Amino acid sequence: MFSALLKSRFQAMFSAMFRTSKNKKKRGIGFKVLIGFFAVYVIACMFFVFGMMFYSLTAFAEIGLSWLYFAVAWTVASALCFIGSVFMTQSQLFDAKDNELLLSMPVPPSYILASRMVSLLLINYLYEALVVIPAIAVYVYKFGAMSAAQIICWIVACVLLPVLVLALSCLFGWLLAAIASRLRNKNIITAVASLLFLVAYLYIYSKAQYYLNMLLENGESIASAFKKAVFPAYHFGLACADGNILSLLIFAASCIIPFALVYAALSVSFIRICTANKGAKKIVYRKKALKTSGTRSALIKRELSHFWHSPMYMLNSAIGLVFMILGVVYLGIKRDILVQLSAQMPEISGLTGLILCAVIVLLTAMTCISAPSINMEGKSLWILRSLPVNSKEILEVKAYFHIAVCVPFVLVSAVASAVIFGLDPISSISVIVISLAATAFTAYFGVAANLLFPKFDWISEAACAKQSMSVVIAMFGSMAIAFIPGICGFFIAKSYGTVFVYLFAGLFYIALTILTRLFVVKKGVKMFEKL
Amino acid sequence: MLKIEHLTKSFGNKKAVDDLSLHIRPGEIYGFIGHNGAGKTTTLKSCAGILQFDSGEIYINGKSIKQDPLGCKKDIAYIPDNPDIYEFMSGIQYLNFIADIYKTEKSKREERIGKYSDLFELTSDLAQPVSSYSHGMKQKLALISAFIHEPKLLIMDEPFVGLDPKAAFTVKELMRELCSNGGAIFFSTHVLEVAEKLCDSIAIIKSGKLIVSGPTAEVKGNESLEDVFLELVE
Repeated sequence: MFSALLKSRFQAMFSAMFRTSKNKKKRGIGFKVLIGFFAVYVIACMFFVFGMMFYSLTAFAEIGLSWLYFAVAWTVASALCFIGSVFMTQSQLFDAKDNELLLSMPVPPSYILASRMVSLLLINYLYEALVVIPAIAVYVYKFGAMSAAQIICWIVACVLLPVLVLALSCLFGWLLAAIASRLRNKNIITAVASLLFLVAYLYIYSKAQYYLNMLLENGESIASAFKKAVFPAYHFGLACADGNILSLLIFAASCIIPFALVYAALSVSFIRICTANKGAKKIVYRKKALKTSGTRSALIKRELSHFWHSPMYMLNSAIGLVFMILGVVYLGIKRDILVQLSAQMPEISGLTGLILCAVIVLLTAMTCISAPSINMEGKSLWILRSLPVNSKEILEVKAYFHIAVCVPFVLVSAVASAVIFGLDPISSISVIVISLAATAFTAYFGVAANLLFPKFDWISEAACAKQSMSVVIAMFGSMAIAFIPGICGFFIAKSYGTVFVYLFAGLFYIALTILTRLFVVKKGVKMFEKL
Repeated sequence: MLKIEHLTKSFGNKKAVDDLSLHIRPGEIYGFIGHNGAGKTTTLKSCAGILQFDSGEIYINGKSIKQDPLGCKKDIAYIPDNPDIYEFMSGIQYLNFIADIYKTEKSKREERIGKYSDLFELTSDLAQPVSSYSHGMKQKLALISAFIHEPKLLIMDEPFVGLDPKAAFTVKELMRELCSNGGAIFFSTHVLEVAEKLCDSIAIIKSGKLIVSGPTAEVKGNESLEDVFLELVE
C-alpha cells in the first residue's frame, strides 16, 4: 500500500516535469536536453559558489577547528533545505488536491503523510547535495584521504541532516497554513512577507563576504557559541571531522526524535488539518450600484485581479521590478562610491548611460508577467473562449497588462538613474526609450512563448508561475536577446560613438517588438483558438 | 435558432463527432443524451465556439460560427459540465465582468443580477471569493452569468449536476421562460426523467453518431425514454 502511494507521488512529480499538458504527451528529446543543460548549469554555479565559500573556511581546520567547518556546512545546508521546502510543505501535505480522495480510501492517514514526507525528503536531499558535495570535496582536496570511520560518519550524518529540517519545515508549514486560513487579506500579507524575506536574503547575500570574514576572524568565539546553542551542528561537525561515533549517535538522536514527534503529532491530526473548515469570516453582500467598463478595460481589470490575488504569480513574475526599485535606492545611497569607481576606470567613461540601459533592459527581461498568463487561465479558459471577445484582443490585453505594470517602474528607474548619474539629455531620453521598447518586447515575447509552450493542468498556481516552460524561455530568451545590442553596441561605440549605439539598440527593440506582436496577432491568434 | 450540419470532429484517429446534423427551432428545449464519451460535450463546445471542428457547419440565428464567431457568441450563453470559474474574483465581480463583456446596460445588469441571485438564493454570498464556493454555488453563479445578457440560445452541459432540488426547479422554470420568450435551449443530461418531462425534442448520440432525433413523443413512442435509450445504445 505504502509503495503504491510512493509510486503515485513520483509519477506525479515526473509527469509535471516531463509531460506536456495536451493529452499528456511525452516531452520531446529537445526539451529534455534543454532541461538537462539548464540543470547542469545551475548545479555547476551552486557548486562553484559553495566550493569557493568552503575553500575559505578550510582555515578553521588549519587552526584545529575542523568540526566548525562541518558545523557551518550543516547550517548552510539546513538553511537551504528549510527555505526550499517550507513553502512546499503546506501545498504538498495539507492542501494537496488528492487528500480527500485518499482519505476516503482504506489507507491509514499516517501512510499518506509518510508518502508525502518522503517526496519532500528527496527534494531536501537535492538541496543538501548542493552544499555538502562541495564541502566534502574541498575538504578532501585540501586534507587528503579520510579514515573509514569518517566516511561512515559522513554518509550517515548526511542522510540524517534533512530529517531534522523536514520536521521543522513541516511544523512551520502547518503553522503557516493555520494562520493563513484565518486571515482575510492573506494575499497581501503573503506578498509583503515574501518581499521582506527576499530583501533580507539580498541584504545577507550582499554582506556574505563580511560574514565570512567575521566567521574566520572570530572562529574561537563562534565555536563556543555553536557548542552551546546549536548542538546538532556541533555533533554533526565532530562526527564528520573526527569520525566520532558518539557524536554521530547524539546527532542521529537529535534528528530522529524531533522528526518522530512531529510525524506522530501530524499523523494524529492529519484528517482534522486537511478537512478543517477555514476560519476566514464570511463577507455578506449588500446590493449596491455596479461600475461598468468597456471590454478592454474589463479584461485588463480581470488580469489585475488575477495578478493581485496570486502572491506567487506577482512576486515571481515581477521580481525584475523589485530589483529595479532596490537598484535605484542602492544607486541613490552609493552614488559617490559608484561615481568614484567609474572615474577610476577610464575604459568605461562615457559609457555610463549604456551600462544603465543594459542593466534596466536585463531587469525587464527578468519580469515575466505575460509569460505564464495564458497558462494561468487553467481550467477557466472556457470562459474567455465562450465570450464574444476577439482572441486578438485577449492576447493583446495580456501584453498591455504586462506593459502597464512595468512602465511606472521602468520610468522611475530610468529617470532616477539618469538624474543620479547626471546623464546628458540625449543619453537620458535614450535610456528611457530603449527601456520602454525592451519592456514592450518582453511583454509580447512572453505571450508568444506561452502560446508555443502552453500548459493548463498545473497543480498549483505557484508552480505555474515559477516553473512553466514559457517563463524559462521568456526570461532566458529575453536575456540572451539583450546581449545582441549589448555586444554590437560595444563595437559600434568604439567606432561611431554612443549615440549610434542608442539608435541601434532602440531600433533593434522597436523592430523586435513589431515582429513579435505580428507573430502574436497573426499566428498566435490561430494557436490560441486551437488550445 | 441552432442548425448543425454534418458536424465532424476528430481527436487524433478517434472521431468524437461523426457527421452530426440537428436543427433546433426558437422556443424549443432540446435534450442531448448519450453515454459517457459519446460526443455530447464535443458537440456542445463546438456550438459554443470553444472548439474548432474539422468539417460541417454550425449556424446560430442564421450566422455561421466559423464566419462570425463573435456575432454568434453574443446570442448564446454556455455553461460547461464543470463550472471552473475565476477563483480570484468574488461572485459579484465575476457577474459584473460578464456583464461588461456583453455590454449589458448598468440598470439592466443590476436588475438581472438582483433577480437571478435572489432566485438562486446566492445574493448574500456574492461578496465572497469564488474559491470559497461549493460546486453547487459555482453552478448557480454560472447560471446567473448565463442569464445576464438574455441569450437567445442557451447551451448547457449537464446543468443540473450539483444543484439542490429547489435550484434545479428554478432552472427548469427559467428554461421554460426563456423558450416562451422565443429563445431556445440545447442541453445534455444523463437524467432521463428530466429530459422526458422537460424537453420538446430529444437527440440520442452513440459513439459520435446521431442515432435518433425528433420530438420527445416521437422518440419515445409508448415506452419510457430510459427503455428507448437502453435499446438504442446497447
